[in-house]
Amino acid sequence: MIVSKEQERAKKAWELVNTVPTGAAEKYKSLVKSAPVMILTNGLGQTLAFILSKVKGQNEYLMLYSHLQQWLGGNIPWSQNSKNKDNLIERIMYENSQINRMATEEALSFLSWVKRFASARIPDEAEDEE
Amino acid sequence: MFKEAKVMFIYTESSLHCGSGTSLGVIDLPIQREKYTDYPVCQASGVKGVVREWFENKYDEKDPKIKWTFGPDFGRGDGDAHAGAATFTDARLLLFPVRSLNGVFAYTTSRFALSRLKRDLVMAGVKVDWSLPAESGDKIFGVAGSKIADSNNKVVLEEYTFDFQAEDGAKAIAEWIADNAIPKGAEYDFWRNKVKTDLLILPDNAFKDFVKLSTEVQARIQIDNKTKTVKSGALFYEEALPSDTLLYSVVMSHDPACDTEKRPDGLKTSSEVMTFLCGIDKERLQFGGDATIGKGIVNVNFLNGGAK
Repeated sequence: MIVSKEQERAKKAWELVNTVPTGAAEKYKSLVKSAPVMILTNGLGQTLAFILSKVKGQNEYLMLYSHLQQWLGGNIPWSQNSKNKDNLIERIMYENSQINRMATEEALSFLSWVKRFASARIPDEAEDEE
Repeated sequence: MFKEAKVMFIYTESSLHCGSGTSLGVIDLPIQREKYTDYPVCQASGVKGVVREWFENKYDEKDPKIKWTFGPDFGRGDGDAHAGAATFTDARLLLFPVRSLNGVFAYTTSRFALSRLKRDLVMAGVKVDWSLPAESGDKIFGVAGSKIADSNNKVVLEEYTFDFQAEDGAKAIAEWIADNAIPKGAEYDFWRNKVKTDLLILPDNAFKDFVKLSTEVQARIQIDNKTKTVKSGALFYEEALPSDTLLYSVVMSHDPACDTEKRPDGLKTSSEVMTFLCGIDKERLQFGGDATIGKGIVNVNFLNGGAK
C-alpha cells in the first residue's frame, strides 16, 4: 500500500501527541506552537540547543526533543558523517549543509502535524494564544 | 499564437508579497510558488491586473485602447465578451538576494532559473551569447574578484559555507543581466555594478533551499487600542520576497479581437498593441498585497527598452 509522506508524518505525530501526560500537556502545546517559527528564524541547530538547555526532568522540552529525534532519526538520509551519532543535535553538528537543510524542512513539515494535533487533543485552559 | 513578444524584467524595490491565501503550515500567509519547483512566482493574473490598473490611471479608464488591449470590464458593464490583445506570463524568479558574510548580500541564481530564462528569451525571439557553465556538484560559480568570496575561495551564505569557483561563463551571464535586465536609471548604478561582481550560480538544490527557507517572514500583531498591548490571538506570520529580487514576465501581443475598422487609432495591429504596452517601461508599479505598508514597489524594465 502506497502511503504518502504526509500520512506517515501525521501517523507519528498523532501517536506521539497522545503520549503526552496531562500534567505537561498545556506547556507542550504552547511550545509546539512556537517551535516551527523558532526553527525558521534561528535554524534547526540553534533551536535544538535551546530546547536542550530548557530540559528539566521529564518536562515538555524533553518530550519535544525526543519526538523530533524519533521522527528525524528514521526519515532523513543521514550520511556517513553522522550515522554513528545517537543524539539528534550531534548529527546536525556533523552533517553536511544539504542534509541539514533537508532535516530543517522535514522538521517543519512534521511539526506542522504535531502542532495541529496538540491543539486538537489538548484542551485550552483560558484564552488561546495562537 | 502571439505575434509579438517582449521580456519585461521586474526588480523589487521593497518586499513583495504575492499571496496565495492562508495556509495551515508554519507561515499563515505564504507567497505564491510554482507547484513543481517551489520557486516563488507572481501569478500572471496579478501581473496583468496591476498593469491594467496603471493604464487606467494614466488614460481615461473608458479609453477603448484599454478595453481592446486588456479585455472588457464586465464590472463596469462593458458589453460584448472578447479576449484582450495582451498576454502576460507568470513573473518568474531570476535573481534572489541572500545574506552573505562578505559583501552584505549576493545575487543568487541557479542553472535551472538561467536555463528557463534562456528558453523564454528564445520564445520571445531574443538571441543571447552566454551559455550555462557545466554542472558544479556542490560548488558555487561566480565572477573572479567577487567581494562575496573570501581569500580561501569560500562563500558563506546565511550560515552555510560553499566552495567558490570563478568562471568566465558566470561573468558573461552577470554582465548580460547587469546590462540588460537591471533598470537603466542612474540610481541603479550601484546595483548594476553589484550584479556584475556578486552574481552567484548555486547548485540547484541549494538555490531551492534558499528560496524556500530564506524569504522574509514577518510576525504581525494587533495592538489593542484601549490597553496598548498585543491583542490575544491576533499574531500571524506573513512571507514576502525581499527587495532586490529580480523576476521577469514575457509580455505578448495579438491583433485586437475585432475588424480593423473597429480598432481604435494607435491600436490597429499587434505591433501597435505592443508599443502601447511598452508605456510601462521604466515605470514603477506596485504588485501584490500590503500596498499601504509599502510592499510590492517594483521597477519595470523591458528588454532592449521595448524596441525590437
